[in-house]
Amino acid sequence: MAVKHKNLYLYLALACFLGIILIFIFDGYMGVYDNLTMTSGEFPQTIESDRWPEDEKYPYYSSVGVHPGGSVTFTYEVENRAFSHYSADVEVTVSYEQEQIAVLLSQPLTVSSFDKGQLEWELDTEEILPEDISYEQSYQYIVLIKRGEIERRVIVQIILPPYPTKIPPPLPR
Amino acid sequence: MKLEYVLYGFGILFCIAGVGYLAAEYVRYLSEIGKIASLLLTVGLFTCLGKYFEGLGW
Repeated sequence: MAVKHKNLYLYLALACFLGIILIFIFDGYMGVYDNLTMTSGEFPQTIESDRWPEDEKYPYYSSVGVHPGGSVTFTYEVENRAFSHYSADVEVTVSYEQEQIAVLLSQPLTVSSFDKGQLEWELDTEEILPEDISYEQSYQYIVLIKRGEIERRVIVQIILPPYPTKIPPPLPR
Repeated sequence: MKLEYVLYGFGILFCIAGVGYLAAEYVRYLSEIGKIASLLLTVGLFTCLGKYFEGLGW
């Protein structure tokens, strides 16, 4: 009986340890997760939910490149792994040199429990690029996704050719 | 013989430090309820271990 009593505490300790491990697994699975797919040209690029920068001091933002005249399609997916539904206002803006130049999307998002919600929008470079593009300057736009209190940022890099594609008229003779 | 015990002690300390570090990293992503439940289970774990070793005559 005494041996059983001693082992009982050992088994209880093991049960507590297993409980902690199960909480880590279960709690890690639960939550609201978002990922973003950016498609420019042929290859889509996805930022998974665990790849968003957490270091506010030295953040690293993902970027997508696009040629002038092209467009980038964004697909934002929110997965709700909770027992209650999730709702938030989503606003997507684009800014250049810390100045907001366009609102790409502004709408509420509601996702029922253990379901996924998806939003799509397109960024057309012709709408954001100035008419007189300077080929000696680089153009980087920040796309800011605000979902409730959460902010996600990605960079849209305009890929300029090394020289103007427009052929200048011949010099007069 | 004593040197072996010193090495055991270092090994145990490194194990505890490693597990503690990993736990601290995981705890950052836990919800408030998960943190409290984990804390209670940790208290229960050490209590039961203490009782077990007490029963062994330590």
